[in-house]
This record gives sequence, C-alpha cells and structure tokens, in this order.
Amino acid sequence: MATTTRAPELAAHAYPESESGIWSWVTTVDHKRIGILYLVTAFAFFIGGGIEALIMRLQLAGPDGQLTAGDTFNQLFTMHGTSMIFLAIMPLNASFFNFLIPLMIGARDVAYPRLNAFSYWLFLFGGLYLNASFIGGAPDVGWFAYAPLTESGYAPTKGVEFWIVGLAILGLASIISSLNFIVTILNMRAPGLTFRRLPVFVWMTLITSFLIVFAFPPFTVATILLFFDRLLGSQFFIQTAGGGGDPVLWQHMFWFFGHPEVYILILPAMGIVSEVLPTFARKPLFGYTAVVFSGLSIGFLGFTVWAHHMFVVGLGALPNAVFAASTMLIAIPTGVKVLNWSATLYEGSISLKTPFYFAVGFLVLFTIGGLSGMMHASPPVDAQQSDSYWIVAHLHYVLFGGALMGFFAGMYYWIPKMSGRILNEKLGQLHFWSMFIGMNVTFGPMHVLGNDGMPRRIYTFPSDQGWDEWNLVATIGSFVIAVSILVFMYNVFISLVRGKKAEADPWDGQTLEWSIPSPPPVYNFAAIPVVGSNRPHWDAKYGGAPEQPEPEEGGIHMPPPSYWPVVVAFTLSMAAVGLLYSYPLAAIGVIATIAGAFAWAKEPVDIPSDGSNGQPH
Amino acid sequence: MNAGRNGPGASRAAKLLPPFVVAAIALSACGQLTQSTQQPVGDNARQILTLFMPILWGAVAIFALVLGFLVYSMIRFRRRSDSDPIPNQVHGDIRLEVLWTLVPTVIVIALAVATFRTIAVQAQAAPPDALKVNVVGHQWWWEFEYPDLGITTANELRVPVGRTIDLKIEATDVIHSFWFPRIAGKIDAVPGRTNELRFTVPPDGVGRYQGQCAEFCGFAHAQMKMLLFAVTEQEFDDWTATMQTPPSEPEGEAARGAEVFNTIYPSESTGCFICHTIDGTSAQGKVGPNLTDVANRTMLGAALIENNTENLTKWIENADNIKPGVLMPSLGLAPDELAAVVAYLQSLR
Repeated sequence: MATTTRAPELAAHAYPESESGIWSWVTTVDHKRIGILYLVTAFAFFIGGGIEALIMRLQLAGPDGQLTAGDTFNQLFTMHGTSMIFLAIMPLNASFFNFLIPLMIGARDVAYPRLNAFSYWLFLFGGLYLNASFIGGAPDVGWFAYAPLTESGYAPTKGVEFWIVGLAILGLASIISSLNFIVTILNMRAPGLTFRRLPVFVWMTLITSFLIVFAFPPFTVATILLFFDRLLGSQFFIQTAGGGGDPVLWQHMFWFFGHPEVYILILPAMGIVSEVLPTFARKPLFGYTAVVFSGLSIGFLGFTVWAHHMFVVGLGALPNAVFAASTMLIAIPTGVKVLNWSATLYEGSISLKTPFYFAVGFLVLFTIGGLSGMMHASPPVDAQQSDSYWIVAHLHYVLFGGALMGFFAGMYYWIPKMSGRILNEKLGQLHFWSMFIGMNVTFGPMHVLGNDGMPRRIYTFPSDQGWDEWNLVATIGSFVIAVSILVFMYNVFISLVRGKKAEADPWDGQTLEWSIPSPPPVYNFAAIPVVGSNRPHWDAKYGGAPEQPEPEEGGIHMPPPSYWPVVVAFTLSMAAVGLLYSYPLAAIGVIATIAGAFAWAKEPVDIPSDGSNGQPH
Repeated sequence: MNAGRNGPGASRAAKLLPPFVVAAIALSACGQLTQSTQQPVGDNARQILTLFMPILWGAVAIFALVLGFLVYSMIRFRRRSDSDPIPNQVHGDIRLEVLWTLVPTVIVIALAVATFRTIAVQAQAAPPDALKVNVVGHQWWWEFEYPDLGITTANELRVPVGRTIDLKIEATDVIHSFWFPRIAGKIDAVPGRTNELRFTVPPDGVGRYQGQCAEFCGFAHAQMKMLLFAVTEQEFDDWTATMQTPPSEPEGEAARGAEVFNTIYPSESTGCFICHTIDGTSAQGKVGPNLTDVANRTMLGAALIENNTENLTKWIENADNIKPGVLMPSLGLAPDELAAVVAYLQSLR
C-alpha cells in the first residue's frame, strides 16, 4: 500500500480521498484500475457493435428483408465498423497495455499516470459522443467515409460531423496513450530487462504505439479538411466545374492511416498469442528474435501498402503492380510468425486449457484471413473481390478470428491476475467452441457470397441471385456467436463471484507478472526485480535467475489520485459538443479546458506528509 | 438464370461446415448464378478466374499443412499428467528460420509474376475497331452513351459479341463502381476522373447478364443495378438502327401525355422534362435517365422491376415506394394525366 499520509488541507488542491467506491475509480491513476475501466467500457461498446451486427444479419437473413431497410441499415454498418475498430478492439487492447505493461517490465506504474487516466476518460466521452449521433441520424457513409459521399450535399445530417469530431477525440486519446506507453517501455524497464529480453507482448505494444503515433495524425488532418469542406465550403475532396479538389485524395489520406490501423488492431493479439502459446507448451517461444523482427517489419511495411485498398479506383497498371508487390511482401514476415508459433508447440508439454484453445483459434483463423488477403493482394483478383462479401469475410477472419480470438486468449489468461479468480474451465471451453463454430458459420459463407457476386453494404437483395441460403446460414452463425458471448459474460460473472481463487502463478507462467500476487498490490513489486533473460519468472522457478534485491526500507511512493484528468476530458468533450451545436458552449469548453490543464499542471505530484506545501518535482 | 436458388450444390453445401468453404465455392460453380465470378463469360473475367484458382488451391494447401501440423502437435505433445517432465527448452533454430523465410519468398515471387502477367494483358490498348461506350454513374442509375453512334440510354448496356468493348467510366456525383461479375472485374466511377475498362464477350456468350454498383454510394446503393445484353453483330446493328431513328410523333393519348411531360407541376415546382431528355423534343433535362428509347428497355428503376404498364404507372406515381431514397419526386399527377404519360412513354421506341 502507498504509505504516504494525507494532508489535503495543506495544498491548494484538495485531493480525492476515497479508496473505494465510485470516486476512487473516477479519480484513480492506478494503471491496473484504468486497465479495468478500459476493459469494462470497451466491452460495453463491443456489445453495442455486436447488436448492430445482429440487426444487420436479421435484415439480410433472407431476400427482400424489411427490418431495417434503407438508410437505417447504412447507419448500422457505418457505426458497426467504426465502433468495433475504435471503441472495441483498440481499447480492449489498451486495457491489456494498461494492466500488463508495468507488470511485465517490472514497473510500479506507467510514466504519466494522470495522462493515462485522461486517455481513458477521453475514450469514454468520445465513444459516448459518437453514439449520441444516433439521436439525430448516425453517420451513414461507411467506416472509411469516402468523399464526396461525405460532403454536405450528399450527407446533410450531422452524422458525419459526429463521426469526424468523435474520431478526433478518440484519436487524441489513442495518441496520448501511445506516447505514454512508448515512454514507459523505453524508460521504466527493470534492471537487466534489455530489448532482447522484452516479452513479445511488450514488443508488440511498443510497435503498435509507434504505429498509432505515426498513423493517426494524417488521419486527423484528413478529417479536419473534410470538416472544412462541410463547414466552410472548401473543396479539398470535391470536384467542381471550376476545378476543386479530388475525392481520391481522401482515399490516399484515409488508407495511409487505415492500413497501419489494421496492424494496430492485430499486433497486440500477436503479442498475446506469443505469451500464451509458450506458457501452455512449457517451452520458450520458438525463434523469439525472428518473431520480434517480423513484428517490426510488419509495422514498417504496413505504411507502404495503403493503395491496395484502391486497386479498383483506377490508379493505373504500374501503381497497382507496385502496391501489389509491397503488399505481398507482408506475407513473408507474417508467414514466419505463424510458423514460429506452430513450432513452439512441437515437442512441448501442452496443457489444453481455455487460453490455449483461443490462441490456437487465433492461429487457425488468422491464417485463413491472411491467405484470403493474399488473394486480393493481386489487383486483377481484387477487381472481382473488392467491395464484395469476400472482403467482409476476409476482414472478419483477420479482426474477429485474429484480434478478438487473441483478446479472449488474453482474457482467460490474465483475468486471474486482474481479479484473483480463475474463469471456469468448462464454460470457457463451451465459449471457445461455440465462438469458433459460430464465427466460421457466419463468415465462412461470405467467401462464397462474394465469389457469387454479392456486393457489401447492400441492405436488400432479390431472391433470384442464389444468395439466399448462405445469407441465412451466416445469420444463424451470428446468433451462435451472440450465445458464445453470453456464455463468456456468464462465466466472468459466476467466476468472479465464486470461482476458484487464483494463485500468483496459476499457469506456470514465464514473465514477471506471474511473480507477484493475484490481484497485484497497488505498488505491484515490493522490490523492483532484476532480470536476466526473456523468461525471468521461469528462471526464478527453474534456475538461472540473477540474485534479487530485498524490498526497500520505508514506504513506496505512489502517485496520488487526481480529479483533473476526468475534468479536462469532460470540458474538452463539452467543447466538441459546442462545436456542432453552440459556439458559446464551445468557447466555454475551450476556456475551461485551458484552465483545467493549468490547474492540472500546478497540482503537486506528491501528497505532502511533512507539512510543507508540496511543490511538484 | 434463377436456378441458383435450387442449384445442385447449394443446399448440400449448406450443411457443410465453413472450414470446407473452398469445397463449397467449387460446388457453387455448378449452379446458374447470375452474378457469379465462378462462371465467367467475358474475357476479362475469365483471365481473372484463371489467375485466381491456382492461388486459391495453393492457399488451401498451405492452410491444410499449417492446420495439420497444429492438430498433430496438440494431440502428440499434449500433457498427459501433472508429473510430465519439463520438455526440452528449445529456443529456435536458425536453419529453420532461413528455410521458412525463403519458402514464402518463393511463393510470393510466383504469385507476383502471375499477377504482373495478368495486369499486362489487361492493360493492352483496345484495337481500332473497338466499340466505344461512355459510362456515367449517377445516384442511383447508369448512363450509357455510344459516342460514335449518337445513342444515349440507361441501365441496359447492349454490346455485340466478338468485338472489343472500350469503356470510359466516370461519375457525376459520388463514387460508384461498375461491375458485371461474369463479364469483367470492377472499376470505380469517380467524379472528375475517367477510368477505362476493356472486355470482349466471345461469340458463344450471347445472353443477358446482371451487374450492379459495388461501391457504397448512398441510400439506394443496394438497388443500383444494370443489365448487359450480349447480342450478335446483326442484332446489334438492328438495335442501332432503331435507336438512331427518332420516335414517331405522339398521337391521341400519347400526345396528351407529351403535354403533361413538358409541364411544370406546382406541387414540386418541377416537371418530367426538367430532368429527362427525349431526343427530338424540347425535353432536354440531364438529371435523370434519357428516355428516348424507354419503351425498348426491359426493366425500370435501374434494372429493378419489369418494364410494363402497371409498373411504369406505379413508378411515375411514386417511385420512392418501389426504390426507397430515389431522387425522382412524386408529382401528384391526376389518374388521367398519369395514364397519358405512361402512354406517351410507351410510344417511345
């Protein structure tokens, strides 16, 4: 426990006092609590995006569906894509970053605890903001929002503004959070934890964070230009009689962000799988260096392939050939990763537990998604597959089969560390099999539908196309997935109430987070560990670890809670609401944000225990 | 054309689990699907399928190897009891790393070479005798102009078999995508840009093919369809001659309809002629489809409903009932005016 005493009357700032209850969560700067906040919030948005998907599947269960015909359907698929990417998968990954990175590198918190809380609150408010658009008409332009359909002449409701400003808030949250993790990983590693000893999950977090920092700013610029087009009548993305801009410019700017975004979504899952497979095979990860360098090269190459989303735009034969080649190159490091993960199992001693099932599920489904992606890496093939259900199938094998299977592997693996309870194994396997089967029944047939010429983003189809059966099968599959999610939620509920208590190291783990109690104390490590390999906890158990220091005398300094992150996130979001509805409100929001940031900056980082006035240092 | 619903493969394949989806793709080729890329007719679509199938089977083989290895390892090396010894702690093998970096590299090179060949074939310029057609995407219908023949029509593209068709594709409002899956791969219609697509329907490909917009383009994107009629050179010449002859002067009820057509209706402060063109008359609107040959078309509303008296009446009465989101307003015509306009339009052939 933090041993600093509280003397709020001495400081200009009153500190939050509660250690439990709602205010302790609102003002927390503890990376573990923030991680749990991310998890719960993002999971709620995930359920929202899932319900949107189920409504769409009901509409498409058969020909001439009447449930949500027309524009409502267009709003649903736009919000489903936007929510799953920005409000579900990214923050679900962020919950693991938050909870685990300090534990895996032997630190007591992240580098900037209050900024970390600020990122969370921005994410929450940005997500609510985006979803508030449903009241007046949600964005109905697709998640990649191609101009000129997004221009005010074609999309007159405020949905697109909600999308632009909402994503600006979420992008800010992601960039701040990523800078925080970059600084944390670069500066706060335990003694001896060199880059060659960094757990692969930490490596993938680092790469993901750099991708976010490089990819989001161009995207934000593009959305601001679009905002100018809509608000001021500038013509960045619209062609007019007198000249004007170019709709294709939007696509370049969007996909320069959009393709790295795919790796932002999938690399953390690759990191999770790289932790889970070795633990349950009781072996080291096969080819650690190759896996890390593959992740790095995927991150770099991810910035060179954006135009493969634009093969049918008409860029010409040469650009298409060049981007086809760079896209195909990514298959090499991806293949290396898959083979190294597979080799990790060879001659292991494999415990067939739920986290392992999900990790293998990731491997199988991600491989399908990768291979189907190789097909439309070829521009002529893409001329048939682009914008068809084949793409819908491919992207869900990568993002559902990849990112979400990886997420659930991480859930079953680390919930014991987060909560001190182990999830029920039988329910876990029921969850896995229902999700694995449901996922294939839903998205597998979409390959056939795409091949049979069904375009994506259509809310209705006539019955004479031969698409009826496979659409019905896909709809049935989507409800199997829904049931599997309910099984998971029931499992979490029942296990947290009366599940088996987790020891510090329930899986015979290899990395530092398993060396401390479950759940970890506020300060994580009584003594900062000394690391001698990339499997420090394995070494501690089976020999080879360097001598460890004794816990320090005296108290452990932990950062105090703060009101300011939530206050500033709120005032900034208020300004964003004002931007669309009331400029005076926007002005108040901006002024309050500046004032709040100033107060935040002046807040002493220590609660003084000696009667002094606690200057920041 | 609609046999796909009860196609021999479909219902049987529906019972298979999607991991066997590839088998299903092969089975679905047995049916008669109107937009199936597996049943190519145009040379462009055939070239793509020829490129695609080996890639598909290669991917299936790679997947089978990976899956087989995983399943084998999980069964062979599963932990049988808690007292199982700790396995040999192998950290990696540089020879294997080199091997499984080189193997994907070779596969990727093969894929790239095959791809580049197809790109080169499809990038060849059209021969001089090619039939030129300008395609313009609109929300939510297609305009087809034959510049050398002086013909403009909508939603139904008529081409002779055995001759290269040289398309120039653009859009007036938002981005659309021109796609006849059995004829050719898709290409976007982008405002401010002219894209090109060439294809040939072989002589044995006479028939009616369906296509639709593939790029999400707003409210009625799902119903932006089109038809392609591949006809013999003789039939094409006959059609051309018909199209180049102006419609005869309307008489009787049709003449009354022409008056209605060219009147502004205060309810919407517009009239048919504001948006539609009929060659040889004062109606020269460019917003909606050119109606000079509307009676010759088989379908209405961008290949949505059959072109007959009943449907045409319903369409003019309130198109939004048939195609939600459509930009054509309902003018609130009286029943006799409606019947007259229908008679007029049906005289345009």
